[in-house]
Amino acid sequence: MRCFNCNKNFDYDKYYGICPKCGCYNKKESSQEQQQQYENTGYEKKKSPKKGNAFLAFSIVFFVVCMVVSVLLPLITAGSTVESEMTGEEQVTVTTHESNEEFRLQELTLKVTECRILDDWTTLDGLEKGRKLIAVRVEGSGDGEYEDYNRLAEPYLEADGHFRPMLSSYDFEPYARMYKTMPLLDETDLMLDETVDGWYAFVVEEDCSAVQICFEECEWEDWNKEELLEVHAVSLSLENETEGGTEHEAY
Amino acid sequence: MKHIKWKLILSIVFLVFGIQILFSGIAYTFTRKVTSFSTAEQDCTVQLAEVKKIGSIYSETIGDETISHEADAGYTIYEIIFSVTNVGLEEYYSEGPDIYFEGYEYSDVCELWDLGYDSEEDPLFYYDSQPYLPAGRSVDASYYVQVKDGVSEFTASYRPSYDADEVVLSIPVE
Repeated sequence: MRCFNCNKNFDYDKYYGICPKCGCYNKKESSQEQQQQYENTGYEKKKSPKKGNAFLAFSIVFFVVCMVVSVLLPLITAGSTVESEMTGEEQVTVTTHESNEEFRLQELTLKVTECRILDDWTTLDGLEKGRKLIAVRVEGSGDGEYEDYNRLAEPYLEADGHFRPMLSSYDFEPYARMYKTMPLLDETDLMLDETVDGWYAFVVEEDCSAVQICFEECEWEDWNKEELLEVHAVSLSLENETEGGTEHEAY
Repeated sequence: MKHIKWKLILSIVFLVFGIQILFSGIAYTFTRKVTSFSTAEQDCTVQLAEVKKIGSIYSETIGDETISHEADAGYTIYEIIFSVTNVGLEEYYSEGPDIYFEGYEYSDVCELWDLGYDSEEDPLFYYDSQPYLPAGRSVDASYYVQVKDGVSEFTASYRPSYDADEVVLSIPVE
């Protein structure tokens, strides 16, 4: 016989219908009927909580939260990226230096020592009207290890809010000999040599009185630019013919 | 007992899938962010900075020569200044991407290409002295257009990279 109250199985005859566990009296003929009567008195059997419901509910809520976070996270970060790109501000940090100040860049040490106005359109035949030719002298040192791929990106010039690339050393070499601004530097320098001392040439507007020569500090993957880390800019005045305290014997 | 076991299995399935989705979302977010800094999906951004009304004649002094350009009858010359930012890793050998101007009618707007000093042959170091936009830098680039009188708005379109969709900017004029 099973007790209608606690479901304990017991021998009716042995215990005379009295449950050995809870002490309830069970009628032999109809325990179900008795159960009905018991419920009708207003007493409700305390239901034990169904195990597993809370855990399942938690799992479903967790799943939904994960889905929402996964969808919203890329959207939120994408929004901030677009916003920063659309501000029109510089995308890279520019660190400024003075001429003759040594600074570190990609395990190299660089120093801009001189800036010289070489010629202008009135005296150099063929130069575009309203332009002048300048050269910037740079000294540098590095480990000279080719395997480092520690190349120096071609510097460029910033003048009056606009930028100018360096003149190719191949094109400019005959003029460099004429103006005694040799040797010319290019992007392969400081890959094989431990020290360099040479010139970069640029064409700028005739009325330009101040420029910044800019060197990109990059992370290189073999020969390719992997990431632009920073730009080092050295301010130079073009008021006088030379900028910088060091006078060098020309080549 | 079987009922409880079934619920437990279902709960574990939800938990496992939830964790997997969360990690996928985080991984996607960060890889996307890294991509946008290293190899940008777009090479440049262009924003309208200013629209300047020049009038019927554009003139500029270059060296010892003053060059001028007169607008066609019924047109006014405007200088459109864009703030261009190079968000890629490679430099532009110009001050940004090609920008195309278009009005509602074909004849509403026309870019003036032939302004500036014109010589018979390329000057010395010509290609190394042209406008340039290095990686990560911004510049205000000027474009000159003549706009038909009465036109109040036209568009400028460009592609942020060679395979990107065209971006269209609205240019209001007086």
